[in-house]
Amino acid sequence: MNNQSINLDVGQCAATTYTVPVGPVHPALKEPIRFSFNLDGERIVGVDIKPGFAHRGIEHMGMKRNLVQALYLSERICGICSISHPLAFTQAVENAAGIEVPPRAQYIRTIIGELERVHSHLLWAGVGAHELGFDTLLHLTWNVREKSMDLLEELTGNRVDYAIPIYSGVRRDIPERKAHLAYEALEYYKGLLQDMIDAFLHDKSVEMRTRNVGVLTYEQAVELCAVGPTARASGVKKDVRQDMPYLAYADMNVKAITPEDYGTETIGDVYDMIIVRLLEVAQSIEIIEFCLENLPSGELMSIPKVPALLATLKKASGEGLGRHEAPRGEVIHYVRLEEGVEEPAAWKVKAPTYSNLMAWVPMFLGDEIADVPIIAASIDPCMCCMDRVHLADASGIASERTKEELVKLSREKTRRICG
Amino acid sequence: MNVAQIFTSFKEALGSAYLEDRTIERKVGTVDPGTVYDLWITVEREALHDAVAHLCAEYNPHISVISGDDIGDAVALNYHFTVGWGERYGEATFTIRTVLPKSDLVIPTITDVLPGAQTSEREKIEFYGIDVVGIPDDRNLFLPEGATIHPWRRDLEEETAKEVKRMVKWETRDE
Amino acid sequence: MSGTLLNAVWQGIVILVGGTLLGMIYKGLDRKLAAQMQGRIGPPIRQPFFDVIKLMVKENVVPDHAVGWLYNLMPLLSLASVATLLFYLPLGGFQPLLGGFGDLILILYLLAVPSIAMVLGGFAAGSPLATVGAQREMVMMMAYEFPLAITFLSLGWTLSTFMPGAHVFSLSVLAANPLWGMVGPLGVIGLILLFAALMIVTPAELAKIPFDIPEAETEIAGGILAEYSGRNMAMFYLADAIKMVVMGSLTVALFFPYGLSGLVGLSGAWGSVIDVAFYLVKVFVVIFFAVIVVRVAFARIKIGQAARLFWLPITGISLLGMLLLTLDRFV
Repeated sequence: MNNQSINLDVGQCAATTYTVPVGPVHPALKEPIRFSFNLDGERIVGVDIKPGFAHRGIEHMGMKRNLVQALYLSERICGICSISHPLAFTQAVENAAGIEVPPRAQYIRTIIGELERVHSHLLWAGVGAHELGFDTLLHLTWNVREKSMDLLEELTGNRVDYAIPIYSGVRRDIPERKAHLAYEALEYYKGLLQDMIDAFLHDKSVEMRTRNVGVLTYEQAVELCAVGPTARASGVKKDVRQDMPYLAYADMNVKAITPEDYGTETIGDVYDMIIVRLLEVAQSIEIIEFCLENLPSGELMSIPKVPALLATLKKASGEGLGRHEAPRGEVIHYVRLEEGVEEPAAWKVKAPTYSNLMAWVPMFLGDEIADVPIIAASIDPCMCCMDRVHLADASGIASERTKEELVKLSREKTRRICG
Repeated sequence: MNVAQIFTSFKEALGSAYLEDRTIERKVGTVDPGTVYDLWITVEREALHDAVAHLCAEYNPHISVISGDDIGDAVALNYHFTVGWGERYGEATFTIRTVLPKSDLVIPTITDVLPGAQTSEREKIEFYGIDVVGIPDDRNLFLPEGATIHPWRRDLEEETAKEVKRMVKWETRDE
Repeated sequence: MSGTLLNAVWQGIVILVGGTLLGMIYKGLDRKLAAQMQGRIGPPIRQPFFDVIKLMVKENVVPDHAVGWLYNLMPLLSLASVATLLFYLPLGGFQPLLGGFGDLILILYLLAVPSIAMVLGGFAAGSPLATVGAQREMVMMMAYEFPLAITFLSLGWTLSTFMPGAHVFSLSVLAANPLWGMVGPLGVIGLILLFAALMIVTPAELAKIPFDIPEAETEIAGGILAEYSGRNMAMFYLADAIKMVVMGSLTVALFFPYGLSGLVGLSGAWGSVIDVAFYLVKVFVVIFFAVIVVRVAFARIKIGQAARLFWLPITGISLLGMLLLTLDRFV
């Protein structure tokens, strides 16, 4: 084997380690990233992580477009967090420009954001099951997830990239005639939640593979600045919705969920991450229900006309931070606006995986190669969120006709659904 | 949250290197509005490490990200922290801003007091060409290994474009 | 004499082709049923045939770092050894073709050959992922061979106490004299335990979830098979399909060798048809419970956990079965 290396411990017996690469393309990884594991037998004694294979230069591109165009770009940072980035970005711009958001718009943003959490956590649970070699659970979980995707499609017209938030409000209302669909979906999930908990947390083989695997201690989580369920599974009660409320979260009492809420001791392993995510699905359902019941009436946008909005934004100057608790953790956008310029003068996107990157190292060390997939999946990594900044020309666009047809078809479907 | 007290403690710790501060109060919530705070301070580059060390010693911060901003003949670095997590309305963002002239892009690392900052510092090294003194690992993180371009520097855009074209051409060459 | 030989050759061809087809159909059923249980539609039952045909026409890639001859030889060895196994098994109620030339002990050895072939092939591939897979396969073999051997040994020994002088390890003798009716109540419990041990060893022997550790797609990208493609891969695929029939038939021959023809009072050609049909059903039931249901209901376990599982509880179960059979005979 050509990449075998022999390390000699001075004064000790010879220890043989060898390197096993995982990625950039590997069945355990849903997106490209490269891990190089130093193995002693099956045990991991060293790991090197190299991200950056999904760079698209989004921030750079955003700084060359006007703010409304940049908003749509922010939605395309990631397919799964396709509401989290726009939510953080709009808040950052609104904070910088001092734009008010009407109450109804705040609630609608919250509802879509929480629906995304439901589908994202279920997606993760399925992926996690697949990494454990438990495909049955994968298929059943993703079957359940479809309900939230259907609901998102009904409410927004799209299964991903919902195009809901815009500076000063939201682009689409949740009308009374659609609300019953949401309630229906919520009832569906309430009925299934206990089954999901049984399937994941009371299954012996899942427990065997996840208990005491990929442990991140409380101290490590704080020191390495982990975010989201990764940190909360280690007992760090950190959740933007609780710590620094925004949107409709300020009207309710959101609590950061840790394994204690399930009644078990906090270990910080993968099992705890499953607990946290499943309980957060339940929490999201409560939040959506609260928002639907207390949905304020009123306008959707404080500046409804896009030209007026662009003019306001062009006049604005200042800097702002926008934060949102995405399914994977804290998303933060920094924006600086300059007067007389339509583009953002500076734009920095921080996705949750960016913060959790460092937390991977202590989770991997000391575990087995067999644990790699589930540990890699445990932080719910999102490479496309994290890797945003590479200057490459896009090529290989599909033929014009096909593209136009697709656009036409999708527009027709949106009209059909949203009437 | 006692904003004035935080600022005063920084002023005492940093002395003349403490340049300015700014507080943004925002009302959130539609029924019973609460207040959240964005705190910004600007410090001299020499005092940055002391400022972060003071923050770590007193306020248990979490680093979100370090954002960079090319402002002509200098690069401004904003260290975005959050302090006070763990309870409702307990948290505020705390940004430490410092400006590096392009002729001398050197900054000390803060990974010795806050290890979680390493990802963000490595990103600044490759994207702005900043020399972060004392960082344990200064290899390229997001850019390809060995790439020496600094894509976020507005004054280097031409070189970057040239280099990227070369790399793209190399990647798509016929074997 | 040449007539008997020709006859044997014809029978051999029928057994080979029949066993392979059967294995492929069971594989197709396995995939379809597993899909249905997982809430999927699943591939058509004839999908394994498409897979093999496709693999046959694909390029056979040999990695640069591989030891070429070993790498190419191992799939052939694997297929040849499982195909040989077919000749030693009483298929469909008939006498094994080579029953006079080998017994249960030989079967035990032949069963190990495909695994050894995979280990060598994995090491020969020269890829780190295949190396990890090969190491795991070795650990797996060490883990499950012991309970398997205990099971075989206990059955042979028990039969020898009833029929001193008979060739008790011959599968035809074992199949002709089912132990269930001979032993007492303690012995029946012992037999049930041995049967349980064999049912748990079956998915390990076939490298199916939860014991597909050497291949573990999400961990080591197919492990041993990571580098194999084309014709070589097709041979491993066929060997896997045939091994499924072998394990099913072995379980049936050892524990459920009963035919239906006597019960319904048929003999001759129709009796054979009924017996063959019943045998197919029995093999399917074994595969259904030992492979399909198990792989749908469990997650993949880790190599350490698998080794512990076989060395302690499963070996324990088989030893207890042996002890109970001994007690039954002497107390």
